This record gives sequence, C-alpha cells and structure tokens, in this order.
Amino acid sequence: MSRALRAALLGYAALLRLYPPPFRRAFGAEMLEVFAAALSDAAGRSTGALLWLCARELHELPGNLLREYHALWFARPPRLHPTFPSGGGLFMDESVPARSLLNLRPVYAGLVGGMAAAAALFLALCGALPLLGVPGWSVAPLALAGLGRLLVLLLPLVAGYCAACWGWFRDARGALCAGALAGALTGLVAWLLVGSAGAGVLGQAELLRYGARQAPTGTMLGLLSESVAGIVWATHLSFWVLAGLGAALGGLGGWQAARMVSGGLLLITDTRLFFGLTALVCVALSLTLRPTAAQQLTSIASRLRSGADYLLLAWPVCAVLVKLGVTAATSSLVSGPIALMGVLTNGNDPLNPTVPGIVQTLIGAQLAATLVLVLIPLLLLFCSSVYGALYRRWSAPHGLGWGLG
Amino acid sequence: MQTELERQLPLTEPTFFILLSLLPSQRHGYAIMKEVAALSGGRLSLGTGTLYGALKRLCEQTWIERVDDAEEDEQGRPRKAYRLTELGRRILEAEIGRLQTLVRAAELSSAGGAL
Repeated sequence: MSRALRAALLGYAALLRLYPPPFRRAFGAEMLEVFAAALSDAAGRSTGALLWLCARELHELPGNLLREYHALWFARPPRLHPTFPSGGGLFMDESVPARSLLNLRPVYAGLVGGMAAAAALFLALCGALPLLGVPGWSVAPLALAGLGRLLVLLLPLVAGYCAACWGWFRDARGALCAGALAGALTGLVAWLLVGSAGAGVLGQAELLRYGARQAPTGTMLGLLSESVAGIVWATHLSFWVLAGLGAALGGLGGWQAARMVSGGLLLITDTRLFFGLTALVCVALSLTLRPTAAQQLTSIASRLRSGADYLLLAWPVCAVLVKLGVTAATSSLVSGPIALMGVLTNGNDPLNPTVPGIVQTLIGAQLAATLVLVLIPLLLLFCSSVYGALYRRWSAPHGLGWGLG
Repeated sequence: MQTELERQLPLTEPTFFILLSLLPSQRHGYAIMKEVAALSGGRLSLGTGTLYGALKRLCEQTWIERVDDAEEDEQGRPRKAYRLTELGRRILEAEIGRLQTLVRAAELSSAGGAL
C-alpha cells in the first residue's frame, strides 16, 4: 500500500472517531475495512477515482454525523418491562432499570431553552421597554422585537417537545409532565436572566417618565412608592406569565411528542401541521403583545393599586408601608422575598434618593429572586425524588423498588 | 398486516437498492456497496458512512440482520454480513409491487396519449 493510501486510511480512521461511540464500536472496524477495499479499488483505476472517493466521504460526513448523533440522543431504548408504567414527569422511565431514578433530561432541555428564550426576550424588551419608560426612544427595530416575541413563544414549545422525546417518555402523562417542566424552566430561566430585570424597569416607568429633576416631597414620595410597588407588581406578574405560559406551551409540545409514542393521541396527527398551526397561533399572540398592550396592562395594574392612593395624600409614610405590605402579602412565593429583600436592602433616604441607593435596592431584590429560583428547583427535585422512590416501591413489580423483591 | 407494510412505503432510493442487493443472498458491506452501484447503473454511489448508517437503521427495524460470514477478516475474526429478514423481504416485495403499479399506470397513460 502506498504512502498516500496509508495516509488516507489513517485520516479516515481519525474521522471515524467523530462518530458516536456506540456506532463506532458496532461498525467502526467494518467501515474502515470497507473504506480500505474501496480505496484499493479506486487507486487501481485512477488518481481521479481516488480523489473522488475521498471527496465523497468528506462531503457525506457532516450529514452522517448529524444523523447518528440525532439517533443517539433521541433514540428510545428497547422496552425491557412492557407492563410497568412510566412514572412520568421528572422520573426516569422505570422500564430502563439501569438508569437512575431522576430524569434530568427535561431539566437540561428547559435550561438550554431558557437561555435561548432569554436572548429572545431581550430582543422583545429592547423594542418595548424604552417606549414604555421614555416615550419616543426605541433602540430595537420593531421587526427584530417582533421576532423576539415570536421566539419567546415558540421556544418553550420546542423545549417541551425535545424534553419529551429526549427524555424517552412513552406515555402521554410522562410526555406532558416532562414538556410542561421543560417549558416552565424555560420561562423561569428567561425570567431570571432578562425578564425580572425588564420587569424592574417596567415597574419604574412612572419614575422614568418624570425624569431627573427636582420634585416636591409629596410627589417624590408618591413616585418612590409607586416605583417600589410597581417593581414588585411587575416582577410578580412577569414571573407567573413566563412560568405559566412556558409550562402550558411546553406541555403542548410534550403532548405532541407523545403522539409519536402511542399514535392518534391528538386530533392533529401530522407533526408538520401541528407545528405550522402552533407557529401561526404564536405569530398572532406575538402581534397582540405590542408595547401598547403592555402599557394597557400597566395602567390596569396601576388602577388596581389605586385603592391605597388616597392614603398618600393624608399620610405619605403610612401609605408607602401599606402599599408595600399589601403587595408583599398578596404576592407570590417569589415576589414576597423580593419585596422583603428590597425593603431590607433599601439604602435610600426617602427625601434624598441616590443612584447607589437605588442600585443597592435593586441588587438586593435580584439576589432574593436568584436565591428563590435556586431553591424552587431544588425543592422540586427533592419532592420528586421522594415521590419517585415511593412510586417505585409501591407500584413496581417484584424485583424492582429498592431491590426489595 | 398489509396496511402496516404499506405504512413503510415508499422506500428511499438507498434503502430500496440496499434491500434489493440483499435479495439473492447475504453480502458484506463492500459487496453491498458495489452491488448498489451496479443495480443503479452507477447512478447511486454510497459512501461508507451513509451505507453503515442505513444498515444500522435497517437492522434496528429488523428488515435485515447482521450475521457472521464464513470468511475471516485480517484479525482472524469472522466477517460480518447482512441478510434480508422475512419482514424485509415482504417490504421489498410490497415496494416492487407499488413501483410496478406506477409503471403500469404510466404505460397505460402514455399508450392512451399516443392514440
């Protein structure tokens, strides 16, 4: 064998290492042998044939790699215990006894989807927030902001679909739970990275509109209380909107993925039609989420809070406390700690607010949000582990469930 | 069962030619590659990656199976060969039947046009 052929063979052996290990172990030696035979044949014909052979292998390589990795990641393992139902949601399909109890694949899908959704949300907010805060100032083209809104809606759906496929869920319940979990995580991550900060700016719209100028004491206190309450309200609202919408869309994606398993689960049995229709719905939804719609939402929120406004005229300090108290009491698990942290870390003198003081307050609130967001998944994982362990123990056939046959 | 078979059709061109190459007897990888090129008149030339990707999927679908050949490779291990399963044979026959129907329809149509 000539030096050129040996080099080509060595090169091909190196390229084979790019394939997924299971595929390489099963077919690598055979592929190398076949390539060596083809190489010898081509070398016997002409140099052109030899070059064409190498070019063909290189040309086909990316597509083949993509196909094999896709098959590896999305493949369903053989069903080992067909009568044992899936735990669903966070749990590994128990028909794969070698795997751990907890199925983290939906979590990974949600985290990756969330990072992409955060970028999309940033685009969307770039178009909306300046219009809300400072009229006439737009930093993002409207088309780009619209694309961002569309992606924010589509990404949880895709994350849910991928989580259900990738997590090997076979039944509708498991796929739905996995999809909803991934979608909710997508929303949560997007909220943590971008949404909460955006909500913070949105909540201070009144203050931003007033601008950096001297204000009478009453006006200043009014603006400050409106600003703090607005931050809490907007953070609260954005958290539940993103998490809820993410869970719903992710669940829809997971449900569609289940169709691949059981067949005929949905009325729309064509995946392309399903995604086409969903994309249309998302376009329609994203068109309704214009800055003006967000402004209307903000004004509704303001009116809801206006019940406490009359106190502002009579006793401003009391009004501030009542507003904060009412908002914190009615807020969620998330916005409660954020409001509390915001109050605790408030470095502002009410009569002389400073930029470092405002920054300190915002950082405190953000820290609380981050802590809560770390605690919520940990709590979920812990609860699901306990539930999964009990589920396996009570429902598993003999021989499974902690090994207590 | 016929409906189940029909759901697998139409086959892609590489799948069809790979199954067709295995119809007379079992073959190993390089023989399949050469037979596919010969059957398609040199039009379809499969690379090793594409060929083995297809063989893997066909094995998973149990349309073909991987068996030890009588020959041995350079390391003295039995070479691997591939042969059609009963399911693969039925699917190939169904595809050939489908193609024949298409050709007959085309012939009838062109004959009518000529009249």
